[in-house]
Amino acid sequence: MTVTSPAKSKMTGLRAPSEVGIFTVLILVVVILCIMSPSFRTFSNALSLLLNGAVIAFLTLGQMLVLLTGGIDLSAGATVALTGVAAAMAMAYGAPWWVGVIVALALGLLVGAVNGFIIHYGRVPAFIATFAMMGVASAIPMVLTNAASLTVVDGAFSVIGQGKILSVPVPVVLLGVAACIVAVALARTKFGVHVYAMGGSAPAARLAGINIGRNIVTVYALSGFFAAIGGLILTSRLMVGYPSAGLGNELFYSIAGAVVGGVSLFGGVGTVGGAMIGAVLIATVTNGLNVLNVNSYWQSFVIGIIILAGVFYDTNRARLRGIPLAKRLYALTRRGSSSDA
Amino acid sequence: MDVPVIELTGVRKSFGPVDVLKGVNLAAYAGKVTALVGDNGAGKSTLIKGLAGVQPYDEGVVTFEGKPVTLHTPREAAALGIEVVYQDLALCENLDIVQNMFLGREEISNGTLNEGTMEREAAETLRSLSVRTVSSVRQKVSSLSGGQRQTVAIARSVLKKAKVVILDEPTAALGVAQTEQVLALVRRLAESGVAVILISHNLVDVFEVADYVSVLYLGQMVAASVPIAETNNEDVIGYITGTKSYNGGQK
Ligand SMILES: Nc1ncnc2c1ncn2[C@@H]1O[C@H](COP(=O)(O)OP(=O)(O)OP(=O)(O)O)[C@@H](O)[C@H]1O
Ligand SMILES: [Mg+2]
Repeated sequence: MTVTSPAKSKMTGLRAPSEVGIFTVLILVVVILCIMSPSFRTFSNALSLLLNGAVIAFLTLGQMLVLLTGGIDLSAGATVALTGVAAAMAMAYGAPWWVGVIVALALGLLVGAVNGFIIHYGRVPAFIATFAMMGVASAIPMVLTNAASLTVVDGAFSVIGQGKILSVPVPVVLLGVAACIVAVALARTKFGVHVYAMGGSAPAARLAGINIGRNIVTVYALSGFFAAIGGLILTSRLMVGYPSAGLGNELFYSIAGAVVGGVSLFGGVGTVGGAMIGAVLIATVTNGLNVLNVNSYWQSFVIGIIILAGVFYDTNRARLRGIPLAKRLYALTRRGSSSDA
Repeated sequence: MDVPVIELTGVRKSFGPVDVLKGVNLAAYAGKVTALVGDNGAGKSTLIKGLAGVQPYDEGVVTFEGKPVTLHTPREAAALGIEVVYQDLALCENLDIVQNMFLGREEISNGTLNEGTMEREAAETLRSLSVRTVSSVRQKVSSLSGGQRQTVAIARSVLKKAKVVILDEPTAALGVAQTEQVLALVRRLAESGVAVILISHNLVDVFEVADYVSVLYLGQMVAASVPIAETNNEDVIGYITGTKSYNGGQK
């Protein structure tokens, strides 16, 4: 028996090419927007793009961990609202800013952990459990504040969303640190291999004796935690806790970022690098549509098309892998003879 | 007569009103391949799940190296050195060979994966089984053929010095050449001292590779550990279909 498809790219695997692909798309989009719009290519716009992108990217980071295990977290956006308001409320009651931060982060972890428990031990599908949690987590800040916004009085709190370290905005620095930690955890620890294994084949992971419950709770808790950081950034940028913050397109964008970044909705496939590039791409597209004065109603439309393209590629990945683009497109015109490898 | 590494006596298992195993005896011997055959629904998988500790028996005695043991969890089975290679569920396609072989028992140093050690051990294990069909232990399983996957799954089972390896239809989905390859591997596995239990519907395979054959018929062991030299294809088919009963072979 000989190896039928000797993988020449042994060392690089299949990941590098997919990241290069999405990175190329990002560069293209940036170049096109720079040509089209003078206001896009300003430094201040770049900063605002990165700031907006940081919140989406934090959600994408958590979403990606959950997606890798074969799940999904629909409550991430609602957790942004819940934790952002919780921090503002804590400070309104006189707590110092860092207590507000701890309250928000702990609440994010808790919401995520509850998701994980319900999903694993309650055997509720992730889609349904986090969908329900989305309702619960978005209602609580509305009820507590009576849908009114809460002004943050502790000025020091503004450092999270408005501060700079060596002229780099703090949210971007935080994101860089978090992304590096997650990347190392996924690539170099037992936890990482197990997360990929669970998404690759849940029965195989179970038979290998992996502690699936603990890992499920961990990834959802981390998703809640990163959503809480998103909530803190949003509240700190405006110094106001909005009970409706994060209830707009954030969830939608975070899933879009992960999917176009090469994270499979079926689990087991994706990298931090790809997901982060995907998040920046989504942020760039929305920012570009803004500066081009495209009616904001079109934004969801465009992102929706992008998600469809990403999911379409993901679904047909096995068939399309390794085939040159022209041949892929040709193959898609004659569907039906699907060959699962 | 060989001494059994593991021996089951009077094993029973029912699901509600359905008695699936009705007092079954089974033995496996070090360095020998024991084929477990039987028609669909005879209870082979149920018997194996009990050995693996994933679905404990209701009743019965399990003796391991002469001592009575319990098999209530997969960990207990693994601690004794009992490994099961499941037909389809064994591997994660999205992981590479090393990751699959070490899944759930990774080598760790300073909190991170010790890739070097794992790569070396994986390659050594493959070499010890004379596997030369995989070019790199860093290949993703999705890029492997059916036979190569089965090879990796078997290599995974012996990585940690297993004493009993149970193979559930390892050649079911394979072509002629790959079947030969895997059967040769099963043979080498036994020759390395492991007690192998081979589930198969293919009697040609059974007669090629097994030392003993045990036949389940509707939850009963109608022929237990029959030396392969003392039986033939026709008889075994008779036991499987319930048209013949085994009475030879002194215990
Ligand atoms: N969890 C269960 N609940 C109820 N009945 C079960 C369960 N598992 C197995 N059975 C029944 O037990 C009987 C034996 O099943 P088992 O899977 O052990 O057979 P088998 O010998 O492995 O068959 P095959 O050759 O088709 O794999 C079947 O009638 C099956 O329907
Ligand atoms: Mg079976």
